[in-house]
Amino acid sequence: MRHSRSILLAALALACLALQACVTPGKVTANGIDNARLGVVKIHVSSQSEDYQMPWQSGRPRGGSGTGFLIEGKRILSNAHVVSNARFIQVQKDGDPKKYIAKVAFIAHDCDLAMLEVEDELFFEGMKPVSLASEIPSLNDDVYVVGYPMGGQRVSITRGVVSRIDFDVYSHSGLDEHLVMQVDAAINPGNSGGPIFYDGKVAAVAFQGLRSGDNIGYGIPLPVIEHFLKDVSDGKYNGYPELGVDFIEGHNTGLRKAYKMDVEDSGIVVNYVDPYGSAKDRIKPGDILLSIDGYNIENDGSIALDGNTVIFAELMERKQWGEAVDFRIMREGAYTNVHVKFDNPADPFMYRNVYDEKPEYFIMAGLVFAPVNRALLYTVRHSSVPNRSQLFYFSNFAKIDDLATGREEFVVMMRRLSHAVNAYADTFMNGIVSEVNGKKISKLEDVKEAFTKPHEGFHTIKFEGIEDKLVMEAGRADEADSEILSSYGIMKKEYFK
Amino acid sequence: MTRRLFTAALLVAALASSATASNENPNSKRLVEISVTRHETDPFLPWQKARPGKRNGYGVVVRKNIILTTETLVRNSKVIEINLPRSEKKLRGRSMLVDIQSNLALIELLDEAETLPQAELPLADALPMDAKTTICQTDDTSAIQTCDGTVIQVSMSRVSSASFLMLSCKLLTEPAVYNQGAPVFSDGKLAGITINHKRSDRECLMIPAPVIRRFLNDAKEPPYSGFPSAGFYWAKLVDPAKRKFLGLPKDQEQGIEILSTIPGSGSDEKLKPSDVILSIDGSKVDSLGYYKDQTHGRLLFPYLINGRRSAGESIEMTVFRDKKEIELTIPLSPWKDSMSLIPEDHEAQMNDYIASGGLIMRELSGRYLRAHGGDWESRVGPRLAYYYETIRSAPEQPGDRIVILAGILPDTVNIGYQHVRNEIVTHVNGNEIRNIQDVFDAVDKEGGLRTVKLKSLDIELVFDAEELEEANERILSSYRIPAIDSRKLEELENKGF
Repeated sequence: MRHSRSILLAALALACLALQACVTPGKVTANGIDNARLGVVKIHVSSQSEDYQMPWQSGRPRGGSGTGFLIEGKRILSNAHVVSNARFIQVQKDGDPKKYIAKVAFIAHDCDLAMLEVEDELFFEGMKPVSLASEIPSLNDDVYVVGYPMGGQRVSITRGVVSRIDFDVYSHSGLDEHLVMQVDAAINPGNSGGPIFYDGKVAAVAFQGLRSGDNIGYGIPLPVIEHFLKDVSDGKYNGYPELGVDFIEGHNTGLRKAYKMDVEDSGIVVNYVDPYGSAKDRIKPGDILLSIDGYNIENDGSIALDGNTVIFAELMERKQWGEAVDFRIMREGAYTNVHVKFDNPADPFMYRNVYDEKPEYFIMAGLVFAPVNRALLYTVRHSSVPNRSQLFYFSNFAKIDDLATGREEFVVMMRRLSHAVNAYADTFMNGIVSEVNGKKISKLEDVKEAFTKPHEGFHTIKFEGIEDKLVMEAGRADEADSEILSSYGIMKKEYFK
Repeated sequence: MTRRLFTAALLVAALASSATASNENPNSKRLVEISVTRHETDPFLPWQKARPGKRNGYGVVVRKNIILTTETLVRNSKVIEINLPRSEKKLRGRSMLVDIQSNLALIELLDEAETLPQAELPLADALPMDAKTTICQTDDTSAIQTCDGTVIQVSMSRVSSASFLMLSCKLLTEPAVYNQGAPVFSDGKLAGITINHKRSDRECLMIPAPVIRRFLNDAKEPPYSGFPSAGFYWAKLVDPAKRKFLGLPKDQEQGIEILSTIPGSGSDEKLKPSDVILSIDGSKVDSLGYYKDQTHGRLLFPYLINGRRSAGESIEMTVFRDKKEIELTIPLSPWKDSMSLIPEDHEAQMNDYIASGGLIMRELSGRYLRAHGGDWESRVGPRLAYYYETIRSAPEQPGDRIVILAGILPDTVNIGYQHVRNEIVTHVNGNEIRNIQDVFDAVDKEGGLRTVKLKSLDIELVFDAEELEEANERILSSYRIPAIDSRKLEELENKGF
């Protein structure tokens, strides 16, 4: 990612001024906007994120606001980042002083969408659900954005055109890429979760902006919204499936000759199959992907979809977990078909931003062990902490360099609660634990288990890429353990999911 | 106005000259200014040179036509000019001998200079703490300026870009020292030459006479053998739990722990990880690595090796292994950068490359990595950064290097591959690659580059034999590369192109 995308969540900083009373509500009548206005709500959220530095406690609660809109079935759509880590959510209609309590029904962190429910039937009085557009607008089509951005208390409307439809990273998860709709209508903090209308219907959900540019705002376009709605229709959000292949473009004549590709064949050559992807055991490195679900794959990996040339991954955007795609491939010089069912497991070596989950940890003698996570990688990124290079290498090359083999996750010694017993542990900080008391560490629970079996009165801890090892006297470590927990006011020595 | 300024300048000059005249050191005539033009290969395009640069410093005439200065000053010099203080005359010099480890160098004066002393400069004995010295340098009018320096620390420290500990003295000076290579005198004898200097706090590091004496004596009897090294990595052994774990007696505070040995060094296969070195050459080594030196007092143990012994000699060690004390004899050999898996290559000697198919392949070096700028670690990616940090000095077999595909010069022959850079090359034409010579051999065997396997890709990059030959000619001419690999470049250079 070259640019930093800011999430458009307004901090609850503007004081409520008496201004509100002077404005007559409901005067925006012309051109169908009235309808839109009746379906848009302000969302007040009190949230509390986790403190990954001190995983036994939570961070400070903070207030924020965003926008949401009512769709059919008394459902409110908004962004996942508006209601992530929420402790208390209220929704408010334009011109109505009453706030109604709302709950998260579904939240999709991989595509930054959430669905809220309101129990109080009174809330729905006078509201009019907005309808979703039937197709995604084209470039230069007029759109307008309705929401509650910074700069005032009441509903706001901005106007512009569709500038671009692209494939880009969603900064809420920090990793996932989906379709985005770029508009030049002003989108500001607080607009998050609000609808972007095209021809009176919702074509996208405003969700992120580009700090360094002018008039660049992004919306989550219709196909992603529809994917989310379809996914949750069975009462559970599964998320986007992962195919898990990497490829080389099929242009190179040397490569084409070596793989015996015909002149009229076009396609891409698979160079890597992810052990946590759906393609595992179905597609192999060296396979040439020629078509996907009947769409011909060009040499650069694109397909012609609905008259647009898009990367073939975009077709998979439309797939639900549990569905499948059919590839026509060439393997070892012969044409064949491969059916790939999307059944990939969760990947513990993909470090997305994590929300709504308590962080796992285990404390022993003041040494805090935790699985590697994105928050930890983020904190060490800009500081010269010990063993930084190990941490980056292992987290980035876990699967490519087979570092993850035989492991369920990487466990890191992320913090030291100072005490005489661990006074010499500093050089090992941020080290990825490879062994405790001779036991190979595959997951956090293994650390706990291994510490119950000291060897000849000692605990020994070994780390990846570090020749030295950390040694503690078992008796003293056990003694210090409870002492440290009480002196640091830690109620629980561990948390496992 | 002009007139007034002129008089003021005259006045200052007069004062300055009277100041130097009053405490004229007879050896100050040995001071010379050195100006070095350096010219190195471009690490990214190894067939051509990077922009030349200039460095200035001082040197001291140690005997007829021989000048002592620092290695960092003359490194990669193409032209060396010697300026005599208060003279506009530039004399030609030639780099005779450089030693990276001690940061010392000898320059031979090629032009006659009758005013320079011809007798051998006497060297001082080791300086104790608080010893007073006189440092000679020139001011901005090229007049000799002397300043006082007091020894405030005698220790083993890094004196060069090599990560070696050598004997050094820290001086507190008045006024500040301006540049490296300035001679420091004590009782009319050379006590050292300056290296690092901090103008702000008037601290300056000096290579002391004992190191210079060894260097000059070694230089007198070619071949130059260099300072010896035992070839092991060690850690302090302070942690009482660790000491107990290793079975060391309770009341004892001796010993440092061996972490690893460098393959091919004297310690290889003699010392083992977790060995504890209790004494070296009869001197007890404490748990921080210090011993009591007869001359210099408390000092880190490497001085017992590189200050007291020569390459080719052996050293006795008392080692605690498996709870028993044993005596070991470790042969000492000169350390060579080229023995490393990832050499530093400060001298820009590693110019071997092959550019077939536009793929620039070369061996990885510290110089190459740092050429990416201050944030090189993030630019070269976590894998290379990790390799450099953890295993750079530990080749599996002597002669092993990491061969990388540094980058690709775009051409039709490498279409589809062009995004690859800073990748590790594991196989060429199906042969395992352990250094650039292996690449040359593999290419020669097949009569050209056919396949390249990279660590991150599970398939090979393939080239068509016919296409490649044409492409290479095209690439050579359009990118102005004199030869497809460094061996052919050498042939050309020898013919005097």
